[in-house]
Amino acid sequence: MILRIARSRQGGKITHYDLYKVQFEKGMSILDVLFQVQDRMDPSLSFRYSCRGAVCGSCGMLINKMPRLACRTQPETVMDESMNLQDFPPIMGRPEGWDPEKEILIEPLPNLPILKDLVVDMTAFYAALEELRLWAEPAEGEKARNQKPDQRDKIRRYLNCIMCALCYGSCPINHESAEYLGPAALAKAWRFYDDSRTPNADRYLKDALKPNGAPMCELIMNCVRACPKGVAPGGAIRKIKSHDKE
Amino acid sequence: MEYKTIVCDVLVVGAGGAGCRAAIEASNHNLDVIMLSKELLGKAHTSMAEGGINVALGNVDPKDDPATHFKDTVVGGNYINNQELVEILVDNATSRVYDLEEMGAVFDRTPEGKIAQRPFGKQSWRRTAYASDRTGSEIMVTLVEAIRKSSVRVFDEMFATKLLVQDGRIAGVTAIDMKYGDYLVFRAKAVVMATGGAGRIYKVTSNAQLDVGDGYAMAYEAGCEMIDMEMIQFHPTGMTRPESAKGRLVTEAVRGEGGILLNSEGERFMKNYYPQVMELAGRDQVARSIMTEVIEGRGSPTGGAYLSISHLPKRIVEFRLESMIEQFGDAGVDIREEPMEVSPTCHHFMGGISIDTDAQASIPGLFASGECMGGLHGGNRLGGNALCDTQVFGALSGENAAKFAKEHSLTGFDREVAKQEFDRVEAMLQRKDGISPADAREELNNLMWSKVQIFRNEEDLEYAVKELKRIQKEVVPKIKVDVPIKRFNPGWHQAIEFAHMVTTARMVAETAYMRKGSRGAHYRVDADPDDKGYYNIVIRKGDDGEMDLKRKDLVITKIQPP
Repeated sequence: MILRIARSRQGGKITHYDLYKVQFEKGMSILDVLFQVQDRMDPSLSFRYSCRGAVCGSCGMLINKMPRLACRTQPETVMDESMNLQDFPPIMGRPEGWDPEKEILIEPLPNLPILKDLVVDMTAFYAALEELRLWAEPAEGEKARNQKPDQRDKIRRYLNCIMCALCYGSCPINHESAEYLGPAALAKAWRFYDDSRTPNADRYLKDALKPNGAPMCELIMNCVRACPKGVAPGGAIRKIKSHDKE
Repeated sequence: MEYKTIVCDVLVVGAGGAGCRAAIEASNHNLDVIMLSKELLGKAHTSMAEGGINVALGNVDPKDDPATHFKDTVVGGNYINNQELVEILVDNATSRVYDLEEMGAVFDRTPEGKIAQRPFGKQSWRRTAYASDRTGSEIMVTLVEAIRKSSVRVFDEMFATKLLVQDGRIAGVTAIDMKYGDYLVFRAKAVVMATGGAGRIYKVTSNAQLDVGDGYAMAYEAGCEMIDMEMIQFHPTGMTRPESAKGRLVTEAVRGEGGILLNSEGERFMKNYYPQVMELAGRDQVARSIMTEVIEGRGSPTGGAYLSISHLPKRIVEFRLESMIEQFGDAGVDIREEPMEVSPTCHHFMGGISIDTDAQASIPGLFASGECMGGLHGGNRLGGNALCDTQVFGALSGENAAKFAKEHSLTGFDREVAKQEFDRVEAMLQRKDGISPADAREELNNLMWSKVQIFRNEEDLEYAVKELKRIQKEVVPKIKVDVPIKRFNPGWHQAIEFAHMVTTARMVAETAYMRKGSRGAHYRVDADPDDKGYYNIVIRKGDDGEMDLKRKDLVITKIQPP
């Protein structure tokens, strides 16, 4: 099996692609074959990883032009799969020389600046969480809180978000507009708004409806297709939009 | 060697459950708090904890109380826990879980809306609060949100390499900015170590990639007393396949919810070992039972046992074990229909930095919490007590670090020591001939997995100690980095980590070799029957630079060993 991996020693943009021939055994993930490259061929190849099991959300990258977690992607199936994403520049076209029949193409996640090789700068993604002040502001003085199972179930889907930024990297609006807060932050805003324990729920909704928030979303739903945890941020954004009075 | 210096009041090294909780607590005291994270904020191993957090709320079993939590923890720890620390754990668990709720954590609920609790091994009542089987992830996400709300300054992808001590007091740490390769000295009035465990010294582990024992090695080198380093928890149920997922955690909640263990003959073998509690025996006991079945030829094809929940209603499985469905689904197994194959995996270090009841280590101004701290869990940690530990001792270490910082001024540090440390790591980049970190790590992993494992004996341990001394002397100084660049160079980071791994491994092997009887997770097949094991082993770096091991009396407040 051959990997065609995007390289960028100084960051900024992809400077070239390196080819690596890796040994593949059934059951291996893209992360495993990247380890092979790092351990046996090029220890300077940079990519983020931690848990190996789709919990930490560190290893998001573009694999055969689809935003995916390396640890949850099987090389043998990725060649035949398609996420049916709506096209936008980084996921379109073919780098010169790429033979999709023979090589798996691995590139950094789009829409975020490249720091080195497959490592991107997540600052903008995290800044959106700060901008929307996505943390609990609970009523004080209470000890045990009550939340009925059905109240909890309403937000259950959104709790599964692992902040991997695949939604951000798959979104054509994020690609066009640096100021757009992106799907993950907006889904989290809905999670706080819809949490039965939140005393000031409206502020989360109001913030999410800022001009650079939900109104910019065109409901393309690439985020829903790319999300590895079934969070479906686009669904939350649709709900936020439905509360827009204008 | 040029470096930048950054000054703060309280420095927290590590950004998992304990580190975040410590930083939040310290920042509540109007202090300048810095937290260093070796990876991106929120990606720490805490997020991989699955089953839950122990707290005697009594929401489903009203008879539960902290006193019973205390007893279960000490009995489960084989009576060698520091009972003063256990008291702190059980007395504060409730408040800390309510703190998490206040920060926004969403736990699963009883029908009337209280926090739900499930049974876990060796616990008298249903005590383990949970968020499906992604409890650690829920807690991690919540803490990170609380950190964003706080004034804590986070430096992520920052690798702390050495503790700086001045005139017997903590002065700060040296660190490398992993993104750009810059050298930094963080100076602080007080430092909290919350650096997690070291499962990665073993070939098969449930631990995240960065859990290599940095904190154990840094604390030891700085002169801290370390305790119970021989006590390694092998979680009984790790995945056996595919190869890449080998060792990945299969939560105890599977057994807590009613999962049963079967051997290749379809026999529920736990009845031959622990008929009273069956699958909910202690983790050390279940791990040994599975391994015995495998050794005696009744294992599964991949060298494990079968763990089945196919007899449970699908709805329960789908609701309470949703991550497990996904995790095994990726490996082509539908756990609602077919059994999982599982075998033991290195999971948790009970031992670590020895602390007092203020969470202070033996160096004034240095505090520790979470897995890098030792003594609390004794010879075996109960499932659900680790997350609890991060919150209770995280908050305690943060609070006392803040107090210390208020009562003391900044101490100086020896620039020569910092310079030497940066020279040492720089030299790895320049070295032309030597051994690659990947090869060195493989050798270490295999040695520990084959010689310092679940079933231990004199000959293996003696060999391991000898080998580790050789590796320390011959391999560590020869570690080289193939591509001499500083910007985000994983080869370089692994080279630096390797020395920490070897020091940690040696502490484990040396203490295991010293303990001649069986106790808790330390199981000797050639156990000396006269060694009942009711003591702790502590290690310090001796004046001659060698490991100085000593027996220490147990700290007992309530329960005498039988």
